[in-house]
Amino acid sequence: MTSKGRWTLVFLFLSMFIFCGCWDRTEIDERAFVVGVAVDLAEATETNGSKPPSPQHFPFIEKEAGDTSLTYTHKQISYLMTVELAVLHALSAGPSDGNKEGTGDPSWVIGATAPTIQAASTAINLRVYRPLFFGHQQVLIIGEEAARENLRPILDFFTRHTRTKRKMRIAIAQGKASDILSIKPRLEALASVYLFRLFQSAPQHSLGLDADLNQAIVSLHSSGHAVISRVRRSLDGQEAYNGGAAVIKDWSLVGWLEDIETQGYLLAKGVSSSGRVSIPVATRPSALIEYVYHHCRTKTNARIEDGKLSFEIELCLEGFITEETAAADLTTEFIGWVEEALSEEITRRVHMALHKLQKTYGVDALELGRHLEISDPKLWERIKGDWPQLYPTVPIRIDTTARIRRTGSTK
Amino acid sequence: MGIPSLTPGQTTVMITEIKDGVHDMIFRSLFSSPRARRMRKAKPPADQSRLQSEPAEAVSLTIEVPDDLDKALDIVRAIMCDCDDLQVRKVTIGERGIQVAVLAIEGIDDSGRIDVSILRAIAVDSREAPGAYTTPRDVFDRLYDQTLNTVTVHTETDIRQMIEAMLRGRCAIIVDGVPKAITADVASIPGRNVSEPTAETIIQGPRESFVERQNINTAMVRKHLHTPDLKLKRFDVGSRGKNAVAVMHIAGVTNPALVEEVYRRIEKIEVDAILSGGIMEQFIEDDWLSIFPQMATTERPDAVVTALLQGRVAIFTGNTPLVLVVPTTLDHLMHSPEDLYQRWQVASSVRVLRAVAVFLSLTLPSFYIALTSYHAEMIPTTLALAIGASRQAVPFPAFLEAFVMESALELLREAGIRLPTPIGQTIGIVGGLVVGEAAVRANLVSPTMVIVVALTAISSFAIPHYPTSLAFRLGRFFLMMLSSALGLYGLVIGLMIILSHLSALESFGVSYLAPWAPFDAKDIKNTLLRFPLHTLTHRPSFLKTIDQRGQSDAQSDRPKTGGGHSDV
Repeated sequence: MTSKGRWTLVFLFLSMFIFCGCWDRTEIDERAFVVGVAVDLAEATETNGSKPPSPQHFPFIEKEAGDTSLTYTHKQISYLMTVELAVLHALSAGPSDGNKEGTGDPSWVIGATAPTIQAASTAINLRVYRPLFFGHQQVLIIGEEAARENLRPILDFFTRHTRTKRKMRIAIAQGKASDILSIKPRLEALASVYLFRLFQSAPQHSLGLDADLNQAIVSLHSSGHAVISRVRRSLDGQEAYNGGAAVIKDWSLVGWLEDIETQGYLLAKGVSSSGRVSIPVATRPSALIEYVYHHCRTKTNARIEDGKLSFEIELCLEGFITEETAAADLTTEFIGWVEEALSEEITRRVHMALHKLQKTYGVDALELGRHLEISDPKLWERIKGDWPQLYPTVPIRIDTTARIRRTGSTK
Repeated sequence: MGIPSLTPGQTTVMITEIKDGVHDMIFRSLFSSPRARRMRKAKPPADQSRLQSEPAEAVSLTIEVPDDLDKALDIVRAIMCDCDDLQVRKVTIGERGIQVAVLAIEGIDDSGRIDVSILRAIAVDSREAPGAYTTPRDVFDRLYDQTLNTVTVHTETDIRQMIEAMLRGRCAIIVDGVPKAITADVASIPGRNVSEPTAETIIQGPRESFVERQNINTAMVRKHLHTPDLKLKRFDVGSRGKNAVAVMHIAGVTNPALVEEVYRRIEKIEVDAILSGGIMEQFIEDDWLSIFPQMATTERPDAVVTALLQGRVAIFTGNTPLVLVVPTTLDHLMHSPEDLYQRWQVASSVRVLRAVAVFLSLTLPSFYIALTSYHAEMIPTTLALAIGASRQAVPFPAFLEAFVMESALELLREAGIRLPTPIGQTIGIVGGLVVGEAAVRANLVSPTMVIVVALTAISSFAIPHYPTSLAFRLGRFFLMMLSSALGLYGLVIGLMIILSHLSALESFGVSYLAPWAPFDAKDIKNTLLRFPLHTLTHRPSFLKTIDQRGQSDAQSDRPKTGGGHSDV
């Protein structure tokens, strides 16, 4: 290499620092941190569109016979996207901060209506000069109406975008999603962080779900079904309430599971690590025995007996008694009775959930089809096509064993 | 050789006739640079006339000590003209009144050894045994054999050699009528006493460090290793200031090829003077372009002894309290002598901690820049919001902020070193606390940046070898530039560049990343972790020692549970 060429190289290398090829560089304080997004259906109207796709540009669209007009009817959907932005200087209210900067509201909820999420976020940028940054988005709340319409166009933006976090929690709001984001939580500065923590805590009680975007996307893309978190405002409207679950079928919301049904569903799926069940004492119906399980083992078996397909779900729970208001003597016989009663109650809850999923919605959320495929691939190959019709009719037997490990100190 | 040999008489004539010119000529011949000498060798010796026409080329001659004392003194004075620190004391001794001159350079015998060991000894002895002081020859022999109370006594026939010995701290004694001179060791050049190490302080272990006097330094190593196998070879390096360089190794352990290579590199040095070990290091190192030190420097005798026993070579440069140890590896530079004195669990965890410190001091600011400027999604949300909030009012981009703060830190460090200790501490407090706090309050830097800078500084001080920590500091700025332009991508590119450079680097034939690259499982026991001492039976194999074992297996036979040394 000539010395001139070498110097040119050196210059080019150095110019990297001088002219700072920082096309990607956005300082952390120059971003608008989107911590939460709520998507609602703004309107869905039948419109006479004026720009149908032109057949010569889209040769794969077959031109319908007799379609001579250039207008056709389609459903025009537009979304109200509400984002919660973290107001950074309001967050810096440290104890050492002398200047009174950390006094404002750290949460800024702002929304825009547009036919796509990208259009809405651009529309928000007309009012927020900093680029919206979705890298720290904690929650995605989708309104009931929008979810009933179709989830696919909404989720597309959040999965396609490379800088969104797949770990963000996704939930369907009962009612309007934007209402949830405007909650003023007491423990956290930002509603989205509060919601995130709320969803995260669901495994403690198993009455609600903790579903992140990744799980939902994987499930939706493989079968079109999913069971994801449900959220609504609490009765006084001050807090969010994470109980129950939303059932998605073919990318659309079909209905809900209530709190106890959600627990049953999670137990049947084998992902409920902790929760409580209570039973009335036979001798004193007003008195209750509270049982908290901390361990649950679930086994799902596919059975073929006399040419008939059935499933068996075995549950084995282990827990302890935390409260008992009957002042009963906890003898071995009594504990044996309690264990039996608990097993019955748990079976009932699981059964409720399965009945709803199976008969009402026809959603194979337990992935019984996959269990069958694993245990008997040949049979599965034969009935695969009829599975959606077959599934609601398959008998499912539930066999629960609840064990009491400790009763606690009584004196 | 075509060099004319002059008789003493001729020299004197020349000196008296053209004193200054001749002085110049003789001086040049005495202390001419090796380069000039080599040039002379390269020339064909046939060209006599040209040789004579150039005075500088003329004399590489022996100037014999003349019989006559006055003549001898004239020659010495001529050579050493304009050297006002030349001291000449003429005494007359014996019944015959034989003249004796004692010559020395002022200040070399600070404690008055010339007075006691030479002059008083001569005076007392000549009075007590006047019979031995009859002829000049007798006087000379008596002085040489008996009178002078010094450890080493040499005779010199060459005035040139005599003067050189004087310049090195000996005194010369010339007896009138004898064409020889005695030189006796009287040097007690004032120097520092052995004191506690300042740069390599440890808690458990010896608390002595090397001083500027080389003979004391080598003696401190000898003190640990009482074996004639510990070899010491001296070199005189430098043409104007001849600095004695001593090279130590253990025969039968150290790879002879390595020793030869060290000798060869030292002999190749042609320079006016070597002032310090640091200069020595730069003359004999493998790669002058690298920012990484390719030899370990230490001020601790125990560290040198450990290195010698491992099969390394120690280079003692005169007038330097630092000893060079070659070859070294990056891993070796990360070790502190204390690692061997502590229990192995403690030593191992400290070494892991140091590895973390290296990583932090090299990458932390660039990591901060990359994450805050490019990859905000990679920081945990709460932290990201906190960092963003703390940077709200800061007007600079993160990389500028980091550069300013890191430079300020280096500035403080530099200022702290130059200033006397009490002021240095003040600077530290003013700089670290006041300026830092004020800068944060004035929203010039974010508090997070202050934490990053402080953590980086602390990490870099946790590296035991100071020059290595300097290398990592330079590397840090390099990485900061890259990551400010290219984010994490740049940071990784920078780390790759540093890593590939390190793996290409060698120190006296040993790969700098040994024993990791090339990997040798045998040597891993004493690297990032320090295994129990009884398992470290072999010397590092990359040093290619003659005797591989440094320890027998006897120690490893001891029972696993205690009680091996119970009082039976």
